[in-house]
Parts: sequence; structure tokens; C-alpha cells
Amino acid sequence: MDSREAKDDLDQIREAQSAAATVGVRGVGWFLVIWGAVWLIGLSLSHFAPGSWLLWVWSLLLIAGSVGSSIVGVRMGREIRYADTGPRQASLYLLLVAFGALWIVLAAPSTWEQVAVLLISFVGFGAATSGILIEARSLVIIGVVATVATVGVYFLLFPIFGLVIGILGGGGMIVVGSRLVYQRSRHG
Amino acid sequence: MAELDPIIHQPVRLRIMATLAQLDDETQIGFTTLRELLGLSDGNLSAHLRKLEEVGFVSVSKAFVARKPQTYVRVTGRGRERFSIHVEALQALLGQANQGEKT
Repeated sequence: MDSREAKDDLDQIREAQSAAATVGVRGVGWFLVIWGAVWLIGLSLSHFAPGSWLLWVWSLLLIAGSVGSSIVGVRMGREIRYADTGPRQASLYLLLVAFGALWIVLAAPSTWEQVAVLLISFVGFGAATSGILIEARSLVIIGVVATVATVGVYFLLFPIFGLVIGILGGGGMIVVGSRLVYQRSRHG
Repeated sequence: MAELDPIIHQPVRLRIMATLAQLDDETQIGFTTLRELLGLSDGNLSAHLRKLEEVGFVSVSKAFVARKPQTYVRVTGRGRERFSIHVEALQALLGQANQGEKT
């Protein structure tokens, strides 16, 4: 083998590894798009048209988000399996949901804004801790930044809390998710 | 000096090994996803995976996802080691050629 062939082979390796780095990313992207849409629609409606009918809207949005997430979860399972961290991560999410529900009941938030801050901080906490578990620094950063930004908006921009969180949070999730889906689609 | 591995040297197997080596030890990639990433046919990928499995470089397993059977592939410790020796050999070859040009 000559040096030209060696260089071609090393280029092939780099190309294959850069494509492999996108595996699993499409699922994460779809999760972000789905929950970003739920967030954006739900919070925008809560801001512009408050009323008891919102309970039904939120229920429908959460059901739609859960069904979409299940479909994405099954598709992700076909794409990649994490033999080691999968069961640990599933246990972590179950614990978070259980503790989150308990803390919401105990804290008894009286407004939907308080429920939103609690929920976002739980999701942010879950993202940050699972990021540490699977050594994904981006998840840790997203979890911490999302929580700090939400709490900041809650205390400093309360009158437009729903709108800001809906557009920044939901819109941001849709943009980032779409980019991840596109990035993965370029590699087949 | 590191030596090129004759099994990994084949172009398609080189790309398969490069893809699998990028994932961590416990991560398995679905057969369909691997096929899409590499742009191969089912038969072609199967044949090369069989060859790599025979020499213990990859491990192939089956599991049910949503009641449908799925095939998963991962690199073994031996495969990862042989692949990294192969890459070292390629880099050494390139390095020697670059040095030769300078002198």
C-alpha cells in the first residue's frame, strides 16, 4: 500500500465516523420538535386566551406529545441500543417523574406559571443529571441553562412569562430539533 | 511498527469498522441504520458482517422492539483493538511518506 491509498483510507474512516456521530441524534431532534410545539402552542394560548378551557387544551397537547414521543422512542430503539446505560436511564426518568409528581402535590402551585416553572426545573434537572450519567455535556448545559433562564424570566418578566417561555423555549426547541433531524438525514 | 489488518483493509469492512468504533463499547447499532449510513445493500452488509463476526471483530445480536425482531451490531474489544492498530499503521505509512518528501 502506498501513502496515497493510506490517505484515502484515513479519509474514508473520518467520513464514516462523522456520519456515525449522528446516530441517535434524529430521535432527540424529533423529541425536541414535538415538545417544542406542545410548549409553544400551550403557553401562547395560555397567555392570549386564559380560561378554564385551557385545561382541555393542555390535556390534549400532552396526550399528543406522549403519543408522538412513544412513536419516536420505538424508532430510536430500532436505530440504536444502549445496553449499559438504557436500564439505568429508564430508572432515572421513572424516579424523576415520581418525585416530580410528589413535589408538585406537596408544593401545591396555585398558578399555571408556578406549575410551568416547577415542570421546567424538573425536566432541566433530569436532562442535566442524565447528561452526567451518559457523559453528554450538551445535555448538562441545556438542562442548567433552560432552568436558569426560566426562573429568571419568572422573576424578572412575570407579566409576559408565558409568551417569552413559549416563544423562546418552545421555538428554540423546534429550531434545535429541526437542525438535529436535518443533520442526521444528510447521512442517510 | 503497527501492521495493516488484511480483514479490515477491505474498503467496505474498513467503513463498517470505522462506524462501529465510533460508538462506545456498550452501544449497539441497528442493522438497518448501519446499512443506511454506509449506503449498502442488505446482502452486501450481511456478507461483510459475517466475515467480521467470524474473526471476532464484531458481535451480532437479535432483540425484539415493539414485537418486531431487530438485528444489532457492535464492535468487540478485539475488533476495536485491531482497528486502532490498523489506523496507526495507516498513519505511520502516511507519516513516512511525508517525511520522505521533506528530506
